[in-house]
Amino acid sequence: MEYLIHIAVLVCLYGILGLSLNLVVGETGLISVAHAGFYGIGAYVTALLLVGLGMNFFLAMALGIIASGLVALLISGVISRLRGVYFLFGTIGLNIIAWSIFLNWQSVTRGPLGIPSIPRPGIWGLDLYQNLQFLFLAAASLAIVYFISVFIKKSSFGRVLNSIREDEEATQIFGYATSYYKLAIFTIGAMLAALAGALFATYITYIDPSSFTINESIFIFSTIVLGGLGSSRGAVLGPLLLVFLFEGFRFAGFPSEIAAQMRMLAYGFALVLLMLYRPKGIWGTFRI
Amino acid sequence: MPILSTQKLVKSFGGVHAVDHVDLAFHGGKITALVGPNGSGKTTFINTVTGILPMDGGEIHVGGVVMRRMNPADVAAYGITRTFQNARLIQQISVLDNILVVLTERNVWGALFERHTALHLEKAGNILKKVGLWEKRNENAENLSYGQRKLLEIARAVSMRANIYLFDEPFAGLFPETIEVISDILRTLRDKAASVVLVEHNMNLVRELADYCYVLDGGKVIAEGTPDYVLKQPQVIEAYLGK
Amino acid sequence: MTGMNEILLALQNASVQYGGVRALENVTTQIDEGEIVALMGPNGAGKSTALKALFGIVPMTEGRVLWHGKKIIPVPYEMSARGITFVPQGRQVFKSLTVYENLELGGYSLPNRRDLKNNIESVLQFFPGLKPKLGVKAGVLSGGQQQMLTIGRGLVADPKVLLLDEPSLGLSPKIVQEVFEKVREINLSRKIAVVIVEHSVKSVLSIAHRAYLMSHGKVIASRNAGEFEGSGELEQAFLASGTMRR
Repeated sequence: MEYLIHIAVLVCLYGILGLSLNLVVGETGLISVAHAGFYGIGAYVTALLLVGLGMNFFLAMALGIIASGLVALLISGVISRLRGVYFLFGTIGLNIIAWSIFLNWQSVTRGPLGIPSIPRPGIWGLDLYQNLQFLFLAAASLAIVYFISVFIKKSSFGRVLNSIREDEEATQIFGYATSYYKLAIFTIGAMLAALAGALFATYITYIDPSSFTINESIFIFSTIVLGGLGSSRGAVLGPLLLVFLFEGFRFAGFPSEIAAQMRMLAYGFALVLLMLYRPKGIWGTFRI
Repeated sequence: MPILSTQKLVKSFGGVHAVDHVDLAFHGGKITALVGPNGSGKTTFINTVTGILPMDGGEIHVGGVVMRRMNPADVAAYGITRTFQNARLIQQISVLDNILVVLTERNVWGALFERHTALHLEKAGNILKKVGLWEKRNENAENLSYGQRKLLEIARAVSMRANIYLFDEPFAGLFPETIEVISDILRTLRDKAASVVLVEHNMNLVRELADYCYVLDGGKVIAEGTPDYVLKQPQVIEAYLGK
Repeated sequence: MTGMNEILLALQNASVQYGGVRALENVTTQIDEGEIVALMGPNGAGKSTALKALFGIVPMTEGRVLWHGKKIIPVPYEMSARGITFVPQGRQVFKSLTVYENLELGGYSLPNRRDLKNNIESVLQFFPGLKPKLGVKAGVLSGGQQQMLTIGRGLVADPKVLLLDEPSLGLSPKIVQEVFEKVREINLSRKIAVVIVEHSVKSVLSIAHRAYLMSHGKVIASRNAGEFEGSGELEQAFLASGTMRR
């Protein structure tokens, strides 16, 4: 039972990450693998404020979100000049830089030792020590982010993103200053990823740089590709499926020496099959 | 006062003037045709005037004012709209969304907090009904036939309510019924005092629709006047048929 | 019109559709040994499409291709071995390969290297301007030289028929004249049949034996080259001048 609750929390976290990345990749067509970097900024800023200053959780999270947003705003100006593949490389670089800072700025982040003993969030005097209690917070956060995602998708802004996704120049010809739109959505995506980071830090109560590598970005990316790009539902159900798939392989009866590798293998295999037979993903509306 | 005019406009590619010191003027309430054999510079001219290609010399005037900012979004703000030979639609969204995105708020913040309204839908409905695409409004643009795609491209341009429309070969490959619909739209735009510029190869249509005609060859204007007049000029005949 | 020669290559009753647009409607053209035939017409007339249908680059919804009087299914990479080469429009040289390498590629269907070397030698007789540039990357050649190179490349396989798609596009009138003169020279000395798609009618009529005039996907006239002068058909097709209206 505890195990199921744990999986449910993971699904909520990856759901939030999926939704935030979908806004950038699925709706706007900006192929970004920087997401774990923003996830990490949210986690680290929140953790440091909680551990170092004993700040209120929601305030710490808010600052983590703002920090992530600021980084996104600054970087966006530089990398949105890059087109296509070069933009992708820019985001790879961004993730690596963030991870490097987590690893090497040891005076602040304690490098590979990580930050232990992060307190669980305190809401109105109640500390969410039990995982079930935390699950309520995680689920509520997921619901809020889902609402934000749908709100954006249904707005005129969302339609413009879809237009930029397919033909940025044609969108400009109709009078849109598209770089502002791209900057805005990249920042929003970064901020929502940081929200997930704050939750992650206080759930696991320990963070280190290894959770925020490019592999993590790629995993998040694959969850929304599975679920389907351009769909809020897909951005949540994809992670749900993948988390279950990933965790489910624990029980597939592989001998323990190779279990972890078999899980990765099976996961990779599943992705290849998916791309062969349903490149739009399960609920997707957009083919890259 | 022409709505759009160029003074000695130049666009070169590797030392060759694709547009060679061209002076053109497009007036409101007129359909002006831009014709010329293959490679004469018509499409390059359109691309330069609409900011797709940077110009290499000369000036572009909009309503008497020199056009300084030439990126596509600013060109649109000057009231200039264009279509492409190969319709540039947003394929993976619906016909209706293709129109709505032209009608809704441009500002980032404004767009974020706006849902399209009944008024937007009404305007979209009007233009889609005029081109006969209202029934297909929820279809993704990629599922339209060639003719329907060209109609949607025209509908998007018309929805801009521009001062000047530049249509690049809007009639290519279309059946007579579709040609009628589009011709009608062009005449309506003209009657509403907009300036309509038509790049075309079909001379019958040029004679039928255009009030004025410029003939380009090798990047230069070689004749201007009414279609009937220019198409009789020896230098025009020579440009098309060779020496 | 066919005389005693066997009809070498023919397109019969060809129709082609591109996504709902009828690019060709029931088009028949043919070429005999040693002829130069022009396919002329204004933009969008379907002349390039007809050439591409002949070579198998675009599929036909109806119609057939006859080679030496027998029906064949035109498949582009097989055509070179049959003896038909296609020179596409736009001077498509391989820019980062040298002139010699470009010419070599023209001979991919030849059975052995000695043939290739000999053929390239003899092709270069027609294009002395290319001889000093054999080691130069094709991308730096002038437009006219690139056009000569693409034609030369088409000749390396020693074809019986050369299909040229708009060779004059983007070239200055003087160079166009040179290119057409070169085509006439090749036709006369090697007896290679040439089908030329051109919008510049006077240039192509000066070297062609026969010509087809196309408009809106159909053949509207088929005559000996000299018979077009003064008939008014060209003016009508290109400029809609005359009494015939839509």
